[in-house]
Amino acid sequence: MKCREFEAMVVDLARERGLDEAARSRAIAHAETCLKCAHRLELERELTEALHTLAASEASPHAPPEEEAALLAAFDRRQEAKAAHNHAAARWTWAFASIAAAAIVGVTAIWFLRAPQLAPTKVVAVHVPEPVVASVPAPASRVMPPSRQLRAAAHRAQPRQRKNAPETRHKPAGKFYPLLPMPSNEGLKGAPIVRVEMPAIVLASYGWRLSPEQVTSRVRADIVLDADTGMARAIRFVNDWR
Amino acid sequence: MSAEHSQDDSLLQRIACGDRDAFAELYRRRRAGVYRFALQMSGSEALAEDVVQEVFLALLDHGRRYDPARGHVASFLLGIARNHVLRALARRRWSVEAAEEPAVQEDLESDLATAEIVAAVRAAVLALPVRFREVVVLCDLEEMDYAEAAETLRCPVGTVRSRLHWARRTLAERLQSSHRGSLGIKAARCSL
Repeated sequence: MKCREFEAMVVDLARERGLDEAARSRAIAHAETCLKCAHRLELERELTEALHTLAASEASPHAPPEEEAALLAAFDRRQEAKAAHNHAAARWTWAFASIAAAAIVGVTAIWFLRAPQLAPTKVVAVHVPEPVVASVPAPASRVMPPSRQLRAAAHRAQPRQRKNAPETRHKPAGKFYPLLPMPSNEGLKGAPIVRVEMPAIVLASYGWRLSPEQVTSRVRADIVLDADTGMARAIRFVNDWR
Repeated sequence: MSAEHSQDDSLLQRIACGDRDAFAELYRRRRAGVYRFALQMSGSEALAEDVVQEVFLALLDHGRRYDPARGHVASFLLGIARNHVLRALARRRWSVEAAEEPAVQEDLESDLATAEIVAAVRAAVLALPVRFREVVVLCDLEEMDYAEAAETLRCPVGTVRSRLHWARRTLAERLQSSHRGSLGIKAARCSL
């Protein structure tokens, strides 16, 4: 061991802390052969003893009795202040919660009062006339005819009527369009026809292409129901629908 | 974690929940160490008592800042005490030169040598620069290990070791110079 290495360990050696047994043995062995390091170690040991003496003289300082009482009084004051603060905070929390709940109820009520765009389908009438179903398949484009075309078709199909005559307002506008593939008209004789008013979007499920304006509109139509299954087989648009 | 440190942690948690008895118990357990640290750093009993008050009041107000991952409760309290002592010393309200004389022991004859040693060493410690003084106080007077001292001082262990090495060498030289060859401890004992 060199003196420099011994110097780095001398404090731990004198304090008898922080050194493993092997390092301690090497340091002691060096001090036994080096007078300078031996003297250095002696000084550090004396200093350690002196510091222990100083520490022992101040080991048990007596606390003034009023010191603990003053600190406990401060503790009590802080607990009281904390309780008062928590009480006030709880009151404000309840107030804000009530205001927030009232706001939520109000917003929800306003939202419900503003009726949704799509009302459910409603049945307007049921009758069982002899259906007239187109014998040709539905148009390839399956594009819903615009209302004015329906009106024109209805106008051609029906006898000329006076404008705004009540009996013309809800007359069917033309032929039936198949909603499902129909190999023949068998089974449709006497089939029930239901006049409905429904969201136009329903037709999209049958493959009908709708314009953006038509998507949100409502349709008044006659639906032919299969006598056996009750499924919708054909549709005929009624004029004057919106 | 030792049983002592885990008990301190438990007391601190109970204090946070408003347990008055836990606060009193922690005060009684740690008051002496805080007082000794402040006294050994400043040499003033009045300042040491002030620091004790400030430390435990700070514990009431900022006890939630204690982080067990960063050290023990004792290190936390000494860290607070250190801040107060350093501020007081910086304000120079408690001058080290105005250090009070230690209390006179009852048995003067047998303790005269001890009193001389104590006075000499205390004066030498108080003459050290603050950052070297505090490592001597924590490691040699409070007998903390390097890791605990590093936690209290918020510095690396290597810094604590190097500062302690320098501080002790300086103390040895000062005490040796006043007693011509030795630290005077053996000479004082031989005079009895």
